[in-house]
Amino acid sequence: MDGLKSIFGGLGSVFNFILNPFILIFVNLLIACYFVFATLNVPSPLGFAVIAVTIIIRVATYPLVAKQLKYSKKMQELAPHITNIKNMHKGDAKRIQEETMKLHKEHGINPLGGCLPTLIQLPVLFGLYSVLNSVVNLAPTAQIAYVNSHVLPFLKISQPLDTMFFGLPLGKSPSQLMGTLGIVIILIPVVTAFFQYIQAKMMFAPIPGGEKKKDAAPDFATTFQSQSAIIFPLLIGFSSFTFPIGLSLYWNAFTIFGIIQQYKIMGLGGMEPIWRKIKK
Amino acid sequence: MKKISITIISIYQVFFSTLFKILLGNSKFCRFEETCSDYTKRAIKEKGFVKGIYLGLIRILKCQPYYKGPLYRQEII
Repeated sequence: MDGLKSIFGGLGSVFNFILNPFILIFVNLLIACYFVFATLNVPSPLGFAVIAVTIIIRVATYPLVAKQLKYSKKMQELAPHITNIKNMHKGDAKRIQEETMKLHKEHGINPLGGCLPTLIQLPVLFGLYSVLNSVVNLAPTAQIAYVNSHVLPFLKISQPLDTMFFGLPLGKSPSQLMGTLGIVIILIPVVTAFFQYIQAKMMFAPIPGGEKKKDAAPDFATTFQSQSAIIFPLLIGFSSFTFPIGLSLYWNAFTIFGIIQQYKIMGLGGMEPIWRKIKK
Repeated sequence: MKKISITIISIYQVFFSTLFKILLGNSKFCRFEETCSDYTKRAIKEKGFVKGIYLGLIRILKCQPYYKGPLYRQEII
């Protein structure tokens, strides 16, 4: 048992070691944005600071994500050709690889370097989550202590941050506000699930010309995967019901930026048939 | 051990991998023809738990631009 505990402890400290630099950067960015908005007399500066930090981070990782999206797009376009090659040289893995490489070269595709550029986004995601969760959620004195222990000297705060956003307390969750604001607050989880659905739907585009396995009975895994564009957005929507509103604000800004980026690079993807139906 | 490890990898594939893809908004970021998790599952099935996990870890280490070997599905030796 002790061995297992120390393994988990070790994993935890590795995780923190990776996460901590991100947390430091994000707290500083957030407070800097807060000060900018507060001096400009923008109402609800913290809410806008959350949105601004999310956008800054999304812009900073734009080239990284763009490269991967372009790669997926080209691969999608080539999918029918690659199926052809596979059918032509069945069983000859080496020949398939050679032909595929040739095809890639003709279309100017480099195979991806690795998964690290994608994985680096996870600590970004969790880092910002952890920062916002603390800043928005803590009691005033604890909030001041948290911020001041992370920021540069000139960004230190003496007053607690204003956590109201157009009359909504960013630290409260929709479930806590149900009593005072009523059913309207359900809009937050609904909107969150909606944007998440659009992004997921755009992402899982049907492969043009891709063959479907007819003989294989759909097992749990494949059914689940094909339904995941619905299941996960619902799950995320439900969890946003119990998360502080500040986090939903961050998450929606993050998703909307992702949708725009995906649209600019890959087009509507799997949303195209749905979009056409709506336009009719 | 074989069955447990394969089940754990399958759960990762169905749940966590899909969740990450949805969270990051990117569905394809693997450089290999057969993903590391599929490969590890196959390796465990064919070579047993210890060797399979070892081969899987070696495979993950190849997920970087300096590995110039083949990226297609290969026989497990």
